[in-house]
Order: sequence, then structure tokens, then C-alpha cells
Amino acid sequence: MIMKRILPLALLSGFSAMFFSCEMTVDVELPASDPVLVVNAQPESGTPLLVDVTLSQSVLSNDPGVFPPLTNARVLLIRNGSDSLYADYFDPLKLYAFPLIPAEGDFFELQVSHPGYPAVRAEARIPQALKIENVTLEHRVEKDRDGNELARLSFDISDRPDEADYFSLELKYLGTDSIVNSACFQSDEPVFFRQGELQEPGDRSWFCEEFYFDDSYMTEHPYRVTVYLMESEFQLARELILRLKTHEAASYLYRTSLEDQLAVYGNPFAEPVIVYSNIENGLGIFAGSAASESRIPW
Amino acid sequence: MKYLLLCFFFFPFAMFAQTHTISGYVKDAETGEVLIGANVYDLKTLEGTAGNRYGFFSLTLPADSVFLRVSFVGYRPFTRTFLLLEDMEINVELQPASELEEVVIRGDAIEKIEERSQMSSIHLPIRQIKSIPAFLGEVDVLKAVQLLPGVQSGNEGSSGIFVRGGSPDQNLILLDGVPVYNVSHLFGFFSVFNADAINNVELIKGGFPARYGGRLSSVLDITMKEGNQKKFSGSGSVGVVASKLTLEGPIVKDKGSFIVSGRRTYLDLLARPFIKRSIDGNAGYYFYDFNVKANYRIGARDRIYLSGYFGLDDFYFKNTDSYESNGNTLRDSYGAGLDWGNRTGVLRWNHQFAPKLFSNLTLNYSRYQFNTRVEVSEESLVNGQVDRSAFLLRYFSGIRDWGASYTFDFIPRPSHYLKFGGSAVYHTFKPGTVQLQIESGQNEIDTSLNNSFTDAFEYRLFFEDDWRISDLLKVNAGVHLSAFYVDREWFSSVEPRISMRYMIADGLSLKGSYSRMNQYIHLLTNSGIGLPTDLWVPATSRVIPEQSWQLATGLAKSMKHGIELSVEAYYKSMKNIIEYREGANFLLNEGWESQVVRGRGWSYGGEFFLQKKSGKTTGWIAYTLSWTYRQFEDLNFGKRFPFKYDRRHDVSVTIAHRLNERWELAATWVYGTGNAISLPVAVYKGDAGLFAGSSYGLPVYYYPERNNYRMRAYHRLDIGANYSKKTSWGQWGLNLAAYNAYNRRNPFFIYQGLDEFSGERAFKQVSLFPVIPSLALNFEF
Repeated sequence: MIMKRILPLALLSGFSAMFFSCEMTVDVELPASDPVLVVNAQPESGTPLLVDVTLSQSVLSNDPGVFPPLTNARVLLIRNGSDSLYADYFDPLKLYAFPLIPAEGDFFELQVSHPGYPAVRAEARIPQALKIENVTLEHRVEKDRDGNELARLSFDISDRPDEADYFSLELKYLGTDSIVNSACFQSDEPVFFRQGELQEPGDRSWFCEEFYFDDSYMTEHPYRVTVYLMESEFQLARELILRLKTHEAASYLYRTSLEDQLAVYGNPFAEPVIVYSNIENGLGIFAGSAASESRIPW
Repeated sequence: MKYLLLCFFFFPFAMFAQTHTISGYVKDAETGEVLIGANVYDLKTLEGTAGNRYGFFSLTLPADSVFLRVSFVGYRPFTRTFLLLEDMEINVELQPASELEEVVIRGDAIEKIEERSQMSSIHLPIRQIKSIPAFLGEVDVLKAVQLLPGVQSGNEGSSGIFVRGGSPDQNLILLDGVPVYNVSHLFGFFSVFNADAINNVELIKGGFPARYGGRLSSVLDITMKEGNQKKFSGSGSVGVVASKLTLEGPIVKDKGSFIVSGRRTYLDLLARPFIKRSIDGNAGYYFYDFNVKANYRIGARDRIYLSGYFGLDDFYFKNTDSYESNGNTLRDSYGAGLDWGNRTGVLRWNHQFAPKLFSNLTLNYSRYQFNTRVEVSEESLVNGQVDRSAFLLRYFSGIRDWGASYTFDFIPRPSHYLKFGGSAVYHTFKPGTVQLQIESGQNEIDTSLNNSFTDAFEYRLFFEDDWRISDLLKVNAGVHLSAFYVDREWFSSVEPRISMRYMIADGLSLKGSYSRMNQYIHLLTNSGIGLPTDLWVPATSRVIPEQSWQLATGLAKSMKHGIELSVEAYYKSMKNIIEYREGANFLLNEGWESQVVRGRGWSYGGEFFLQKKSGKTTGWIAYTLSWTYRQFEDLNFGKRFPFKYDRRHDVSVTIAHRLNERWELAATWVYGTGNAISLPVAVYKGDAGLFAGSSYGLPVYYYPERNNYRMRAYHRLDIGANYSKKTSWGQWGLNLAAYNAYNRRNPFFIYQGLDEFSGERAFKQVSLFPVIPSLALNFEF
């Protein structure tokens, strides 16, 4: 008798609970954040120095992917502590351009100001480009799991044993039509994996864009790297272009933290990642790099 | 030689002649259940002791007349006068007092809060836990523990506990002395502990006695009931989400007993008809747990116990589609599942070597395992030929322990209570195996990745003495030694422990403690809410053991009507604690060492606790003021940041009042500073290389620092009423409760979205539980 009376009530309250336990939303007030100057410039040896100046926006901006360039900023560069240069705004590129080509060993101080916003500054040094050496290419050395024939490309990276070095690597090929194309390679080299990344045993990962790595797993100096290329992808290749950039630590930290933020952004259960910035009083990155290149006939 | 050593060791305690020892057990007169920590003392000499966790006591007194008094909160005291001319065994059975009867705890009890050397410890009677308003009709031990000072709950509804700035993995949660590795059912909304099977709950937050080790932040020692030694009885409940049944009774009256208790949810059973209508398959979720314990007394000095716990959570989904095409029959099926659970087992032998020496030999087993699986299959019947292809992916991980311990209680005289012993544990860690089976036509693949186990051995030795140096000063001092062997590498630690009290006025003591702790196993977790994917891993040469030290001081006082007051301040420092590296992969744990970062943590603050354990009105007021920080070289660019559960203010008020024999009302109100989370305050253009010279750019979200934003404060009122009525067969009752009675929208998480009205981007706060009424039917026979 008791059960007859109680059970319907229990079921009713159970289903009521499920019904009411839906998601509810309320607005959250955040402390206001004033806009600051955002400077993005990555001076590279042998390449014109261009500076992108924009403003930060409210995080609740309705168009968070649009950043109009700030055209009337005062952009000053001090080279090696003595030469001062002002950049001109170059409208076709919508960037500030300096009339100089950075060289390895250059030290720069960048100062950017604009009425209404705090002036910002940052420093960068163009590192010495570490070389790619002893490149060997062997064709049709093995087949992958799907039966594709692979070529093996090996080379030395002239890592310095007593200094922390940061790199990025990019593979391209010059086609028979004289067009330069991006290319992919696969590798299970430990140096290509940042700490915390998954490297499945016996499995090679694909690398198709410029990717950043450091020398924390380089057990020998120079360090020899082996990667594999799918022969079929290079049927129209005339020569391979292997480009190794040596970066300042700031550049590496910026790039890797940016990739990490993108990987977890929007996941409410993942800890957000803070992107590195070395712009005093502002945001963005100003860090140097130097590239070395090796061309290998296919 | 060994006798010489024994004489040397025990000589200081044996040099006083003309004494005799009274020993025995203290039990509940109605059920025979042991009463843990009962006070046993002589009113004449004012010498006394407290019973141990098996109810055993030993009191050595001069050969003279004795006015023995045995008392326990909620029971009528026992008194007996006799002449002590030889060692005596007295087994005491205390009669429970009516809950309407104010049990006067007179000032002659020796182990009042201010007189104990132990500090930062709270004992929660299970009756008090059961009177707290239940969530969805389920009384939850861990949710009751969350209401204590120094203990923070995690997210809304979670049963995870964060003690004095520690993480959930830093809590040693023992069920009958065996570690339980995952204490969560239903992603933490319920704990695995069935209150009907529990006798005693004790939380230690600092000043750890030397007998405990292996975790940095707390010990939650849960003791199961032993079962009714007098008569067969049962109890149970039918609630909104689960029902449970407990049966207990004597194996042989007053010699042995058993208890069996089970609980299962049935939302899957209720939902099955609706699911059947919508899909050609089945889906659901349930959990169950099952506690069993038996004990038997062999002679006057020996008792054996066998107990076990088995629990499982299971999510499952299966769908099958069959259809005809061009006269051919095709059948697709898809299944997925997720299950996790603990199993523990204990075989225990209590032996009384002498009236002053009690031993406990334990063999135990504990296992936690998590499995997930995805199955896809296709079958086609074409021209009478069956063509089948199938895919199965399984991921499983877990930890398994085999352990043995041998401990001794030696009570040479009332001013000394020595505990010493050792233990060994053989751990097997299974940090994530992936199994893949593919069947396609004649081809079959069956492979496993990371199918490796890591074995580790953990050894512990301890010695402690609870020493009453004078009427004013009492000290509990000891040392805990431990060693851990894994992958041909040894780690070891020496952990001194001391806690003391000094009576500064009548009924008021000043307490202080210092303890060092060491933890050889780590928990890889990204949530802190007890997700089944959380993974236990051993310390290694790269991720070395976690360590902490803690200093605490405080005042303790007991007052009239069974009211206890304690005020404490603490400082805790932790090092080698771990967190996932930013951007780490949380599921596949190959190479987990490279996915975590090591750092430091600090917590300091003060706690206020006013508790009333007996009488018509019981409950407590708890307030915690605390600061908790973390610092990792590889997180937040090496800068210190507030811990997610850094809660400046944490308040809980719990009150239960028995109106009459039938009705009891209860309410709980909690308040806590909002959790610290990371929220962006600006967005800016990133990756100049790709988007240089464009008005468009990759948006980079700017966080000034990790955990820069405080969510809104959390507060909630739960109310409940218990009705009980005695009948000819026993009694039945109703438990009515409302969780979050004033429907506070407490924050669960925050995300960026669009405002429904303006269409503008806004941060949205998701709240999980509104007011949730519940009803449960209880019965006892």
C-alpha cells in the first residue's frame, strides 16, 4: 500500500528533477580592458623588416577576426644601439617598412607610439643561422603501410651543444614547371615533437607546414635527422628546398603557445593557454630569425 | 638477543610495578557494533584511554579500587566499581540514548577535543551524516565531508574534496584501511560510499599521526560496519535515482556477524521503454555498489574479518539498423560504452598478544579499472553469401594493489599509547592500453598499443607514541619511513610527525603540529572532478615523488551540551606536484611523463569549527579563510597563480533538529568564493607572417594570467525533513529534501556565446542544478 502511494511520487519527482536540470545561462561581467597597441614583426636576416601595427579589441567584439591596421603610428627602430630609423607606412602592404635588411647578429629595439594609447617597445636579435649539412637523398628505400614507396632524406642540423637553440623547418620543391610547391614529409624523429606531444611507437607523423621545434632532444651535435618522402608526391619535382630557420626563444614561445591556444580554445574543460608576448605595454611579438637553405636535386 | 632488545625497548614502560591492566572491547548493546574511540577511564585516578578502531581498549592502573566509566557520544555511560587485583578483561556494551534525550557529557571524559594531542582532525558520526539533507535522496559521505572547515568542494555537484589547498589525488581515502582510487559515481555527482554500510568517518587534514602516509593533504578513514551481532536485521531505501538494501545479522550470536549492502540506480530501467521507441537498440547508464563484511571471533584474543567492496559505473549505447536493398539484406550496428569501477578486499586478523598489546595483520587488494569501447559492424547477405566487416576499439587503464600490513597497539600505561608497524604494497599500473580489432572479409587485425604494465613496490614503517607528559602537556610524536621501488630505481623518505596540546586554561588548550608527507603516485587529471579518465601513475626519475610539510596551530575547547569549538591556522608547502602541460593530450598516455610539468604549491589560512554532536539539535558551523597558489616553471610563464579552488571564504552551516520521535528537520547552507578560472579580457591579431598586411588575422585571446577571473560566489541552501514511524515489523520513514532550495544559479563553467536578445557576443555562465526536490522511502526491520 505504501509502495503504491510512494512510487508514483518518487518517479514524478525524479522526472521533475531531470526536466529542471537543464542548462541555464546568465551574462558575466568582465573588467573592461582598454585597447593597447599590438605589434607583430619577425625580422629575418636578408629579408625586409616589416611591422604590422594594430589595436587589441574587446574580447566580446562581434568580429574578432578583423583588425584594421593602425596607419598613423610612429614606428622607430634602433639598430645595434646607434642607428635610429623611422618606418614609413606602406599602404599597398598595409605595413610599416624600414629601409634596411637585417643581418645575422643585428640587435634591434623597436618603439611604437600612437596618440591615445600607451607607447610600446620590444627588443629582438637576429640569431646566427645554423646550417643544414651533409644532406643525402635515397630513393625507394621502403614502403609505408599502404604500400606507397618512400624516399629517405637525411641531413645534419648544426646545433650548438652549449646553447638552447630553436628552429623551424619547412620543405618545398621546385617543380618542372618552375613553380615552388609546399611538400610534406613523415618522420618519427623525437626532435620534431614538442614535450607533451603524442608520438605513437612505430608510427610516423606527417609534417606539411613550417613547424617549430627546439633542441631539447638533440643528443648529438650536430644532430642527424632522417625523414621520409612519398615518391608519388614528387613526380613533378626538379629539386627539393629544405629551409631551416633559427629563431630567438621568444619567437618559439610565441608560436608554440599560439598553437596550443588554438588547440584548446572553446573547450570549457581544458585549461586555456596564455600566448607569449614580448611587447612591453602592448601585445604581439618582435623576435628575430635567420634562415639557411639547402637545395637537393630530385 | 631479541629478548634483550625487547626488554630494552619496553623497559621504560615496564618499570612500574603493582599495576594491572583492564582490557576489552566497547560495543553497542543493541547491535554489537564496535564503538570506535570510546572513552574508558577511572574516575578515582582520572587516568584513562580511548578505544581503537576495533573497539579495543587497554588501561593499566595501580592495584587498588577502580571506578571505571566508559562513555561514548550518544550512548548512556557505563560505570562499574571493583577492586583491581589482577589483569581483567571487561567487554562493555553501551545502551544507545534516545535522540530526544540530551546526553550529558560531563567534564570527566578524558578525550575531550581540547585534551587530544591530535589536531586538524574531525570525526563525523554516521548518524549526523544521515541527517544532512540528501541530494536526490542519496546520503553522501563525501558531500558531508565537503561541509567541514578546510575542505573545499570542486565544481557544482561534485563529490571531489580539496583539503587545505591540496588536489583530490592528495587525499588518502581508506575504506576499512584499503585505499580507494576513484571515489566517484556518475562523474562525481555521487561518491562510491554507501552510508548504510558505514560505521565511522574520520578526516585528518594536518598533524598526521605517523601511522598514515602516502598522500600529501588528508586522510579520510572510513570504517565499514561489522554487522549486527545480536539479531538479523535489514534496512533500505527507495529513492529517486537509486535504491539500496542492507542485510546484517549474527553468524553465531555474539561471536561473529555479517553485513551485505547493495545499491543500484535505475534511470536506465525507467528510460528503457522510451529509448526502445526511438532507436532500434538500447542506451543507458547505471551504477551499482556492493559492500560485504563478515567477522568471527576465535577464542578470547582473536578475531578475523573479511570485507569487500565492488562498484561499477556503466554507460552503454547500441543501435542496429537493418534494411533491404535490391533484394539484399544489410545490417549495420554501432555500439559504444564506458565503464569504470573499484574493487577492494581485506582479510584481517586481530590478535591480542597481551592485555597491553594488540595486533592487526591485514592482507588487502584494491583495483580500479576504466574501459571504453567502440564497436561498428556491417553484415550483408547477398545471394545467400554473408559478408561481414567489424571494427572494435577499446581503451583501458587502471591500477591494482596487493598489500600487507602488520600493526601493533601497545599501551604500557595510561600516559603512553604506542603504535608501530609496517606495510608493503605491490602496485601494478596500467597507464592506458589501446586495443584495435578489424575484421574485413578474410582479413583480420588484432593489435594492442601501449600494452605494458609498470610494477612498483612501496614499503612503510612507522612508530608513534601518544605521550601525556604532564597534565598540561600531551604530545603525539612519531616517524614514518617509506621507500618506493619502480623501474630499477629507489625513492625513500623520512617523515617526522609531531602534534601536541598544552592546557592553557580549564577546558581550553593550545595545539600545534608539524608533519612531512611524501607521495609516490601521481594522478593525471585535467578536471579535478573525478572523471574516469583520470589516471594513476607512479613516480619516476623524471616525475619524482610529491612532498609537503605543514605547520598548524590552534585552540580547542569543549563546552556544555556536547558543543566543541576549534580554531586553527595552518601553512602548507608542497613541491613536485604535477599538472598537465599546456596543450597536452589527455586521453592517450603514451609518454605521459613528457605531458606533465612539476611545480610548487602553497596554502595557508585559518579555520573555525563549532560542532554539536548530540542532543535534539545537532550540526556545525564551519568557516575557512584561505589562500592557495601554484607555481610551475612551464605554466603561466613561470609566474605564481591562484589555484583553481583558491577560495578566500568558505562557510557551511549544517543543522538538524529532531522535533519528536517521528519528525526531524535539517538544513545546510554553504557559501564559497567563486572558483578562479582563466578568461580572456581582449583579443588581438596574431601570426603576422600569415596575415601580415591584412585587416584579417588569427584572433589571439589575451589572458593577463592564469586563473585571472573569479566566478560568482557559490551559495546554496538544502533543506530536508525525515519522517519515521515504528511498526510491528520495524520502522519506515520518508526523506523529503530540496537541493538548492532557493534556486541559486551557481556557476559551473563559462563560455563565449551570443546574447539571445541583443545578438551581441557575451560570456555565458552555465549553471547545472536548479532546485531539485527529492523523496526517498526508508525502512528498517
